[in-house]
Amino acid sequence: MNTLELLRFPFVQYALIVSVLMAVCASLIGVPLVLKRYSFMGFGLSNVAFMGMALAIIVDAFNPMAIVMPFTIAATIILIGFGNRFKKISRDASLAMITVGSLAVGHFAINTFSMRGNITADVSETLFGGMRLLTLDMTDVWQSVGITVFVLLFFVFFYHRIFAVTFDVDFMQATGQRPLVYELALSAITGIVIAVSMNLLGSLLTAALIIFPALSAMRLFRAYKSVIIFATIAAACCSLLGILISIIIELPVTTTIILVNIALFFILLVVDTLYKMLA
Amino acid sequence: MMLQVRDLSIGYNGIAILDDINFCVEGGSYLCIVGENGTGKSTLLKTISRLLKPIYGDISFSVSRKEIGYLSQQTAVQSDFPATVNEIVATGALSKGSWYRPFYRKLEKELIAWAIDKTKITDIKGKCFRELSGGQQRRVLLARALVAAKNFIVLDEPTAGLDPEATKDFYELLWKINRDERVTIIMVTHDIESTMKYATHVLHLQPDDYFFGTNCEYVQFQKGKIT
Repeated sequence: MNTLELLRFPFVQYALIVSVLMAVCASLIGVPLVLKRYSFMGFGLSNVAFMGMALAIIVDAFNPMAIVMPFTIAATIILIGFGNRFKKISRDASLAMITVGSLAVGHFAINTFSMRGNITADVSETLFGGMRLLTLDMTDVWQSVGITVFVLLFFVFFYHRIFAVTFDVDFMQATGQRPLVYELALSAITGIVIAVSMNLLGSLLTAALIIFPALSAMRLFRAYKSVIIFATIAAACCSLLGILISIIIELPVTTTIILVNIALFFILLVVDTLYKMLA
Repeated sequence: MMLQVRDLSIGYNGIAILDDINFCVEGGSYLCIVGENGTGKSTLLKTISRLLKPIYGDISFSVSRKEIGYLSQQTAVQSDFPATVNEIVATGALSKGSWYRPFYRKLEKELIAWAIDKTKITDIKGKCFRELSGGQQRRVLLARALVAAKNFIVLDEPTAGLDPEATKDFYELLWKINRDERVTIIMVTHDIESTMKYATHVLHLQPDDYFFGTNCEYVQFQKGKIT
């Protein structure tokens, strides 16, 4: 069976569309996160979303997102939005606690209270995705289209302010703007993207899509605009390539996408290093 | 009168480190805030720039709060940020636009070009911020402050970490902008020598006390301390 025939199957089409769109969203929110030194936040918050998902599985929620979403948004706003304003516990320590704690609570809850049979599959699926990505339906596709349009509009309209709030919060505050409003809006959107992406792609791939495209783009480009544009294009292409490879030669789908992203990062790292040595 | 400070108490978390500060700044002046470490220079500047709330007292401006340019001490994030000089200077114009507008207007672009010209960074405006020298980076942040406020800028130890040559250049540039463009300047600095050379007014903070006066008065004050 060749690739073109595979593309006729709706499940392949859905997987391609959803993973490319979520890659675009995750890489967009990833650039300000990485620049603000919050790279690990993506993984921490994915784990919070995992805990939310575990709770949703226990109560057998009709719509798990109704539980996952508020959980993740609240955690994002507390960690990012107010992170620098309360200094009782360092940001690094609070992030580590949340990452480890939410994984443990999620796993504990699923094992102790779940009525469902295959617990290991549930856990593995929520963390690493995989089958979920190949069993999407039209609702999932529309959900990711909706969120992508929303995220793109937010980034187009607030592009300069997202830049300013990433580069220098104090300057915005001193010149009579309201950085907190933009920080909170950006945090809320980060939470929404992570929650949706965790549900569709699993938490590991979500975390990978936040950091790798942004870091790859920073190897090549020196302007903020180019970094943000290249990161989204790179993320989309890596997802496309990763899914095609995994389907054609039967590899685990989400981790293949991550490996493609890692490969791109190292290629660009070598290119950048060689360029600097020659220049 | 550009800025008037009355009965001001400053500090962190409700604990005052300096009380009863009174001074005023006329348009076009060049005020340096000097003093030992820990006397509250940066705290005062942050309170004036509204990054901190005053504990007591009143700060009044004749201009809108949005017309104050601010140049902070360098943060860790900025040292390896991928952004061009132009992109950074342009963010100074954000306080002027409405919150939803995705593009800069023509007037704002002219202002950005003016500030880039005045701070002599035209030849590096396409370059990446993190690849510039310390002196160049400080001029970029000065340009951004000028875009935000053509009349009034506050600076927190802008020459910290610069070599003597770059420090001298930066002070020269600041003095020219103050003189030619009538930009009011308030600056925190350690550098008493250049304060005496360029400043029109000096605010010298000491533990539990301060001196405020013109440059001439400050020279007398310093002589008095030595003898």
